[in-house]
Amino acid sequence: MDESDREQHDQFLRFFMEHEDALRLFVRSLLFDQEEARDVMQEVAVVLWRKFDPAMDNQSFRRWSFGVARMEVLSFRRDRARDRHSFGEDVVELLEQSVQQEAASLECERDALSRCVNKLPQAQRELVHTAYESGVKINDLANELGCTSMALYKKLHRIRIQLMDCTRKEMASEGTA
Amino acid sequence: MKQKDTQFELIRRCLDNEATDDDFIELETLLREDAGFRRDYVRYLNVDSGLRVLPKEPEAESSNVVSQPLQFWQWRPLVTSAAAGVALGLFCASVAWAIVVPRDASERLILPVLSESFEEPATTIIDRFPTSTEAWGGDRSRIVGDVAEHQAADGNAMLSLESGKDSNLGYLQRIIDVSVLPLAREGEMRTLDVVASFLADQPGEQERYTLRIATFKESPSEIGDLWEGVAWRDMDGNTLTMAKSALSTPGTEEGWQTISAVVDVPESARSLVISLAAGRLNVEAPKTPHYIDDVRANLVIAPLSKRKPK
Repeated sequence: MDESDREQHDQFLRFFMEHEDALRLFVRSLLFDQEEARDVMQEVAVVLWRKFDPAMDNQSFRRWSFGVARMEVLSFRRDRARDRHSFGEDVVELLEQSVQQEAASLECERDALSRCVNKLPQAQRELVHTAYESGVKINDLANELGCTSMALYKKLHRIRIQLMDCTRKEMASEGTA
Repeated sequence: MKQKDTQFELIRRCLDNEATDDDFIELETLLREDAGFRRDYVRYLNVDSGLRVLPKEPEAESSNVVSQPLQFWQWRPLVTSAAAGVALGLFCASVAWAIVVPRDASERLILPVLSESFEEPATTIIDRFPTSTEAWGGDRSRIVGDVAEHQAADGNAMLSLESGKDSNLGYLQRIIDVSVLPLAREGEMRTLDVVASFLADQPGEQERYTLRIATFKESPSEIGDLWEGVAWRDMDGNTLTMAKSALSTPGTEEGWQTISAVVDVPESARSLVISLAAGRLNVEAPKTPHYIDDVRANLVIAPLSKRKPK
């Protein structure tokens, strides 16, 4: 890798890492399924790197990368998940705007999340860590815990809502809400 | 509250693969028509996604972040020349400090370099580009307290900024001395994260707010010369790095609007300029003041693998 390649690579990494979380969230908001969103994000990263123009500034990169993400989701739907529900173009655009406009606040929220998880009662905290561990299937975990998967889904849902309240309070106390 | 619970339950069903076709239609309709629901949907997913990347040992994350303020003893003053009355945060940019606190390779350092709420009446504001790191400067502006219709975004005072003579926008700038701030080490990157709030005195027109940040190899005292007669759009050749964030309101928006931007701060940078602009999009519309408040800038040094920019 010569000097200019290295600079281009570094520049790409800077831009990509800055917007990666927001892009991932945007893709997830269109696909629902975490695994599918992860597959699409891998494709997004490949396309972005392959077509990256080092003359871009940060804001141009952000706009362009969201466009690429949107196209990759469409392509994924067309090729692998044609039967699933997909949002209309106007809703996709609204979600893109939401994620971009709220990027800073969403970032703060993710930062506050660890603290909020630490505030959960031990049983809930352990459940979150176990359920969100890579590769864990909710059905299997529900069997292990002796409950139905529906009950487990609902329990995790209540924890998420609890965490949303907590992160909101944390951000308010830090003045970042 | 009941309605919110129902809406969150709808989101859950969609994510947990339990939704019916009608559920998806309802979700899509709500996302299209209800901005509050859209925000809740994105926040719910944000928490769900965030939980997937939680560190295994949750305590480790918080202990890895050197969150401000750092203790006084962790810093060694090199030069102390802070001017009284300059409403900067704990770490005034006009004071040179060298970091002496050891950091592990995985630490993320967040250092506040500017926290301005315009609460201090003695804050220096000049009506041209600032000539030092201790003043705000630009178009005509003054500090005002809460007025009947408008309350400060933070504290009890804010800055009232007028449009320029030849422009529908008013500009306000601040120079930060970057040479006194800690450097990134190998495998880390250094950025400045800036956030500012804006408000129109007389809403009803489309407003335009911008936040620009640029780094320079020149020292703060040399920056003024670069600015002489040069517009932002022509500054590219003079800057090391640059970032811009802008917001145009639809004209129906009331209340404070907050925008943020992040700029890389390379090692060769000696100074940095934060520039805020506010005005009406329609050049024919009568010029009215705009307020600026709660301007904050944090230097963030993070390992490349853990970079989480604001």
